[in-house]
Parts: sequence; structure tokens; C-alpha cells
Amino acid sequence: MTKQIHIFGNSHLAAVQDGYKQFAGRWPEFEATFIGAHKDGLAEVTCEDGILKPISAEAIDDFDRLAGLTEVDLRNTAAIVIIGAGFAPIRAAMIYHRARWAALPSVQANPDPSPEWALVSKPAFSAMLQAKLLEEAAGRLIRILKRDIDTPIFLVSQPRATTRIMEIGKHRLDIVRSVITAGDGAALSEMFEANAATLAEALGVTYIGQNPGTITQDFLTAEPFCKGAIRLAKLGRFSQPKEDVLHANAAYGKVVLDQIKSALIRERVLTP
Amino acid sequence: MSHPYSDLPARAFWRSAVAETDRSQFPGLYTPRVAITPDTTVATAGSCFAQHIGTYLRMAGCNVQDAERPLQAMTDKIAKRFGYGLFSARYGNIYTARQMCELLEDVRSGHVHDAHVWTKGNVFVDAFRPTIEPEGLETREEVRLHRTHHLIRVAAMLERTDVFVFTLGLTECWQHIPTGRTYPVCPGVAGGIFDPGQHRFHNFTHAEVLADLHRLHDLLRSFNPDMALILTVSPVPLTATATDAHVLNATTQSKATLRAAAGEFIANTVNTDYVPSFEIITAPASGGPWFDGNMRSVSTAGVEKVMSIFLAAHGLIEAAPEATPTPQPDTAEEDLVCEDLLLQSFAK
Repeated sequence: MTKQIHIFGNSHLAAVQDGYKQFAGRWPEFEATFIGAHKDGLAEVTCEDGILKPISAEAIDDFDRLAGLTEVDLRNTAAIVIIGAGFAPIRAAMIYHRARWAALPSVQANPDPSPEWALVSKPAFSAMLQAKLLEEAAGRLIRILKRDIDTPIFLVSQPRATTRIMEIGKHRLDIVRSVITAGDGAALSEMFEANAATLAEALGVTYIGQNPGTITQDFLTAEPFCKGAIRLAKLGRFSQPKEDVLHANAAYGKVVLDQIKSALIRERVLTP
Repeated sequence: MSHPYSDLPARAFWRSAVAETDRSQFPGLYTPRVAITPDTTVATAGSCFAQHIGTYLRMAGCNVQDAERPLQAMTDKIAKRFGYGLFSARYGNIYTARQMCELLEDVRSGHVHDAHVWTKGNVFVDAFRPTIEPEGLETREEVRLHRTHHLIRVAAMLERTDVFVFTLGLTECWQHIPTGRTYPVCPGVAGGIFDPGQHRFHNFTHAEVLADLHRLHDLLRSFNPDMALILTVSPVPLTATATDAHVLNATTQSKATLRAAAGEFIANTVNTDYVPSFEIITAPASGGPWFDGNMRSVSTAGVEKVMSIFLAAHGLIEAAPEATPTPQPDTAEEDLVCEDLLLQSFAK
């Protein structure tokens, strides 16, 4: 029997939605309704008696324009999936920009104090990362949902930045390139995954990390999963511009949907 | 008839200076010998009560140093948990003048002693600041690296410091016999393993505290020859005593020793000062009681009274009217981070 599921997300939802369309019929076990919103839109909602309503003007507009909905009825959904919404490895890189821990290869190679970053303990780095993730739209949406319903919730990591970051030149996300060139990608990736899983468990949701097969150089999304990416932009769906180093494509979406299916089976939402 | 008392100022007489004065501000109780202005670069260290000084000086717009400032990604709660923003560096509570001197000597030499890495379960902590990493560090090497960074940052901070405010907390301490080093807390309480063959109790005498204060002054001036030293004595009683005395007697002896040593030190030095926080909180004449229900924690109103007198004397705020306890939960103690308090958990 086909189960209804609702998939929420920010701009990264486009890859999953495209995968769902391009590979239609691959997941007969569930029928997905996609709801996208930009920035904090997913957290600017209320949920009462299983009815989720956007409350800010931007969220109302996003729900209407991107999903054609004024509210989302979650009473009969078998599972809720949240894609990205700030739950992203890039958040770890932003903290890394100013904080390093002793076991990082770059610190081991040069342990002298730096004006650029402060030496912190791993627990302190973890605490900062978890606090940051908790305040992202995904964390806030989960807390809103958990107060009202007990439907299983699955939280999918945003993809890592694309390999284009290594070639593009000066970019606001240069720190990702620094992570790679410093040799800290594996450690930072592990740091993110461990904390994402811990936080998800604390929030009472199931975490789905980025499929290792889509990752390259520990902290990047491999080229085949980025080329031709589409993203949900404010004015509609657009091809990935050259400076976009964040969004993945439909092939990546397919992988994510396979992961979601496996997780739904593992958590007994679906029967094998 | 003329005698030495006939020309003394009002502050010298109990009736005019205490009984019949404005006890909200105690005119003349604190007349700064060392000026602090918004442009003065101030650093703080000491027992838990010292945390208030930095906090209130910052609130008054002063330039309070922070050698290891909290990162932007740190919430206030995380910063406090990991010892950020409590003093002018992450040195944790420093209860004795001796430990402060030893820290400054480490800062000067940059030397990190291998003997002072404590185990705490499966992790390791810095014996001189065992609570700033509540979950500990993974390896001994990591503790040493963190301490090395700490010492370097403190050195840079001291070179920029105009006024160093140090709050004397205790005379009782625990020391490492082989090296003679002084710990902020007894081994075994917040890490480490107590070993009677390695660790000894010591209760500093007046002469020792006085000598340490002179040494502290010299050490501070080795970083910046013009650095002034302001002392306070924490009014917070001992959580526990390791002497045979009743804890109240031990507290009185400890505080009297610190107060007397501070007084003698100030009287014989220049570019030094004493802030009478101990007197304001503990003297019945100042009103109060300025302690919470446990008779140990200084209430928010008490802290505000001390700091309003201190800041007003420096012209950093206008003199406040009679301190009225704010009708809100008293959080003065909860807001502080005190290693000493860990001893309470061992009370029978």
C-alpha cells in the first residue's frame, strides 16, 4: 500500500523533487508531497491538531507559490521528511573559520597560535555546532512539529558544497576551500556527522546523512551529483548559476530518495 | 587643646563616617588611588567574586581585556560552561596570590609542566584550571597545547594592561609536593587523584601572602612597568576548611589574613589600591544582610552595592540611591563559576 509522506525543504528540495519526477515510479511505496520555503520560512509556521500553517507573509507566499498550499494537513501522513533547511556541513565550516581543535591535521602540522582562529576543545566545537544547527530552520520546524504531532520525522543533511568551489576563485564560501587544502575535510566532516546525529536523536528524529557515494574529498559533493542542478529560487526554478557552489542535481535527489526509502523501512514506516 | 585627632577628616570617625553618614554610598570609604576611566585597559583575575568586577566594569563602558574571548558562534551559556568571559582570560578561579604568581611565572617562561595534567575518568584536564573544559580533553598533549596557547594569549594581554584587578579569595590551598605548585582546588575534586605522598595542605600566613603580593606586583610590572594593581578581598566564606577549625573560624582567620596582608601591601607600595568589597558586604553597618539564604553567596543587591560604590568612586556611574534589592530571583551565585563550590558536594 502506498503511504503518503510530506517532504519539506529549502532550496535543496529542488534536487529531491527533480529526482522524484525524473525517476517517477522508482518509489511506489510512497507518494510524496513537496513543500518548499526559503530561508527561515519553514520555521515561520504553526502546527495545531496536525494542520501546519505558514504565518509570516514570506512563508505564506512560498507555500502558495511553490506548493500551491495555504496549509498542510499532516494528520494522515506516514512520515515527515525535512531536507536541509540549514542542517548543513557548511555550518561546521563557518565555525571552523574561527575555531580549530587540537587533533585537526592542520593544527597538528602547525600548532602555534594564530590570529585567524582560536584553539578550542572538541566538546566546545561540538557545543557551538549543535547550538547553531538547533537554531536553523530545520531545528525550529522540528520543535514546532514535535509539540503537536508524533508522526515520524526524518532529517536529511544538506549536501556538501560542490567541487566548483575549488575552481571558482574568490567566493564567500572560501572557507570550504581552506578546509580541503588544509587537509581538515575528513575531520570536519566527521565532526558534522557526529553532531548532526546526536542532535537529531536529542530532537527525537531520524538523521539521514549525505550518502558517502556522493561525497568527494570528504567535504565536497562529487561532480556527477551537481551538474545541471536546479534550485528553488525566489522567483521560481532556475538552473544553477556559475557562482552556485551549494546545490545538487536530480541524480543526487534520486540517491536521497533511496536513502529516505531505506530509512522509512528501517523505522518501520514502510514494510520491506 | 590640640591632639592628633582634632584635625582628622570625617571619614576617620565612626559617628560621622558610619553611624550618621549616607550608608548607601559611604562617602570616603573608597577614595581611588588608581584611576580607572573608560580608556583604561583593565584585566581581572581571582576568586569567583572577581567575575563581578569585570562584568560591571564592562557594563560601565570600560575597556576590560579578554585574552580568550568567546567566539561569535558561542552562546552565553556555552561560553560560561567553557570558562570564557569570566575573567580576562580562561584561567578559571585563582584563589590565592601564590597561584597567581605561579601563573605569571609560567606566562613569562612559557613553560608547561607535564606534572600538572590531571586525569578525569578517561579524559585529561589542566590542573591549574580543571573546570574550564567540563568534558576534558582527549590527550595529555592536547592539555599541554591548550595551556601553551593560554599562556601566550595571557602574555599578550598583560602587555596591554593598565590596571590589574585581583581578588584574593583564600589562604587555604593544596600543593604538589615535588614541584611546590599551588592548585585552585584539591586534587580529586575536579580531576586528578589525591595522593598524600604527592599533595599537601597549606594555609598561607600573613607573611607569605604579603610576600606573594609583592612578588605579584613585580611580576605584573615585568609585563608592563606602568601596570597598577588593585586588590579586593572576596567576602565569600570558605565552602569548606581542611584545617581542624570550625569553618566559620577558618573563614575569619583566612579573610583576616588576606585583609591584613592587602592593607600592609597597599600601605607600602605605590600604583596599588584596595577596594573594600569585603567591608561593604560583611560589616553590619553597611545594612544588608548582603548574603543569600545559605549565608555564603553574595546577593545581587550586595554585588550591586559594592560595584555602585566602586564605579561611582571612579566617576564611571552616578552615585546610586540606597540599594533596593531587585524583586527578581537572586542569581548572583548561579551566575558565577566557582571551583571552590565543588567541595560542597562532599559535605556530609
